[in-house]
Amino acid sequence: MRKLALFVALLVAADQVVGRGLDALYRRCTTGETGGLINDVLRRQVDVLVLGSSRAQHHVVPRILKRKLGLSAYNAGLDGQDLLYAVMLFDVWTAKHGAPKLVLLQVDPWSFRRSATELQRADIFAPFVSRSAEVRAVLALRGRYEPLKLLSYSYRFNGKVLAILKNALVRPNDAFDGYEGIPGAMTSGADVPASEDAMELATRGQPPWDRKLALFGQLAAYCRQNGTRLILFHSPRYSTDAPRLRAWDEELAALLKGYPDVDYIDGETQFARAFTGKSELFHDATHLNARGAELFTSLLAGEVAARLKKTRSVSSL
Amino acid sequence: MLFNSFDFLLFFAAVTAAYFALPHRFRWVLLLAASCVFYMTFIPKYILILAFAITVDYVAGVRIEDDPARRELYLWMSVATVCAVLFFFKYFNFFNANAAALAKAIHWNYPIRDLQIILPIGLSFHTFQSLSYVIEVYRGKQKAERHFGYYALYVMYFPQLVAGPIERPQNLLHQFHAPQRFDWSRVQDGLSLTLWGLFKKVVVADCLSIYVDAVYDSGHHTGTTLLLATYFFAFQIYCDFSGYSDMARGLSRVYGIELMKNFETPYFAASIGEFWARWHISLSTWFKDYVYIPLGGNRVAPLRHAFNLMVVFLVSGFWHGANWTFVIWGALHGAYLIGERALGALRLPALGRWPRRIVTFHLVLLAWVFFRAKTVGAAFDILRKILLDHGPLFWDVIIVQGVLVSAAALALDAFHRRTDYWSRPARFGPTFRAAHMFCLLFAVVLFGVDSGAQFIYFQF
Repeated sequence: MRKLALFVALLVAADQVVGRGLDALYRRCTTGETGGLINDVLRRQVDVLVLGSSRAQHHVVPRILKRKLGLSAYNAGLDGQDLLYAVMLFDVWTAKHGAPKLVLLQVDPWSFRRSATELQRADIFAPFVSRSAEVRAVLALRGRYEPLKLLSYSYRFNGKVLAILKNALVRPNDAFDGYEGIPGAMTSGADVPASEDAMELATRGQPPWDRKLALFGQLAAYCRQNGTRLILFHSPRYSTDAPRLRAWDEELAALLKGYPDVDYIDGETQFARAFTGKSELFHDATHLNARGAELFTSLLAGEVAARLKKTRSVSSL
Repeated sequence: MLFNSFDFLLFFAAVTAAYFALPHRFRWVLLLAASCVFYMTFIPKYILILAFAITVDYVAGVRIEDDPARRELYLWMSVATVCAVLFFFKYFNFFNANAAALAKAIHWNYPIRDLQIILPIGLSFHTFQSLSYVIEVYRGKQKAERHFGYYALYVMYFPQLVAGPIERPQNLLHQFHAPQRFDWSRVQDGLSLTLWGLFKKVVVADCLSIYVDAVYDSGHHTGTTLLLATYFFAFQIYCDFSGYSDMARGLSRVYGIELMKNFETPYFAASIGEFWARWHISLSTWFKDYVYIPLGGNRVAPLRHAFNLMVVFLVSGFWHGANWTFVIWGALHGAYLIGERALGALRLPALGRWPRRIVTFHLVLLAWVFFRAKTVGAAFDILRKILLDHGPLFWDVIIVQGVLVSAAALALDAFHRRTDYWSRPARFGPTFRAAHMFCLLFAVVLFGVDSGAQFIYFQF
């Protein structure tokens, strides 16, 4: 029994040492898709936060937003992530910097549905589990033993060690604003990324997930209480599936009924003339290239400014 | 309930605590009940199939011993019954689909539809273990087990129920009867071996599977990418299956019950014959004892010997799965062995050990293409691309991790074999053993892919 107790004590001590060591290195990372970008956005005090998936990361150019709106901006969208990531990042960021003036949240038909892949990828926030109740709530959705596993300090860095070791040596780039433009143009209309397609297929026909709705509700409530303008937007696609889009619009309209202060800009419908079928503006069927992103951001910024004007002036934000 | 799940961790902890708290005479009840619970977490009603097969073989064993005049009848009754169950669940749809395809070719309206059934998990494994018992009793090498509970436990013992090692009654049955005391050192070694298996599964196999699945399931990749994915698959399947076997052995060692070794660093084999003496040992010795030797083994004319080898490997391929890809995989290994024997007979000058290892590994690798591909056509397409299409590599950061963890697993595997670590861990000091265990544990925590992926061999 004494040996067992010693073994457990050593295990706990080793877990703390390894975990804390990795945590110290992790905080030095400001790049990389396994969490470095989170640390980078946490360093920035900005007026506008852009949140969402790759369709936010590669589509919204912060410098154009700044020019058109006169507000500093950071694009915190990330490949492979979606609403859960946005909710967690928003919670961690506001805990450090307070409320931003404006949040632009990219949404897709599957954003409010339950996705096993998205839950799997939510572990990107595991290093923040002791710092945010929202992170704890989301990670707990991954499985009933998740809170137990996360008691291990080392486990929070599961799957991130090599990236941490590599990225801890990279110096922070102060000029980086989160946006990553994709070069080149699409060659064929059939270039739908497999991951995007899989996400849509896996969640097709599902009703919105009540847990996600609740998390979104909390985000919207925070914005309302703190004077942050929350605008959802939907990026253009190369070709539009009209019935799918109609169904999505109806679903989203029903969902936003309870949030009169939340705006929605449907870039796929509203800017269809500028984008639909224009292969020179796309990298693949769902992602704009750098040229497309600049045009989209200009249009989006114009629309955002117009929406803000209806209620109050941009400068008052 | 998978070994690489938290549910299993809690289940095992509870069963182990109860096991050592109970007196020896009740332990078989506990292990049997735990095995039933374990099996029923997959598809509960399938336990009836298992109960049926156990009853048939238990009665057959007793009757073979009690009624020598009709022992052959009881043997064949038992073999026919369990094989019929195996055929129904595993092979019916295969034969039916082939018959339907044949009928279509001759424009005959084939009326029989495929069965809508799911293969009971580990069916091929416990069928073979059960057959092994009846055959050994028939041969007089094993006394019939009179205690139904112990016999049921022999077939259902949860650490090796769903993917082996396929045990022999001479090795396993008597261990259930022997009382076991709690021995901290043995428990630690058992847990350490379990961790080593878990490391191979979640750190290596599940990491490699991310790349392999992405490439093999897409069909749009270049030959360069497919070649790398095939190398990765070789290590994935080894670490997946040997990981399971090591976990089974480790968990069982905690209870004081030793299971047979199933793998001995097979990719270091310098010939195909040696590969099969190191890969899935419990299955290859099963086929040797119950198919190859009864066919005459190698004490026959060279042509007949070649025939025996080919039969064994075709059956072995078919055992793995009801698909022509597995049959071709088996046939390739049969052909390799026949070729190897023929070259040996010619007494050609031998290559060095390392060149022979490399050649052996690549022959095995070629066969893995058929094992992994969904259809024979897809396998040939992959081979064609590997040979002719040397386009750009599909890059993903997982490649770096895959290479690193595979290399680490191979190096550790070689160390364990060289030092015979898992058979005699006591040769090493307690500090070294504890450090070894800690390293494995932290590797699992930090690098393990937490996807809860099933073991590949569960499907067989």
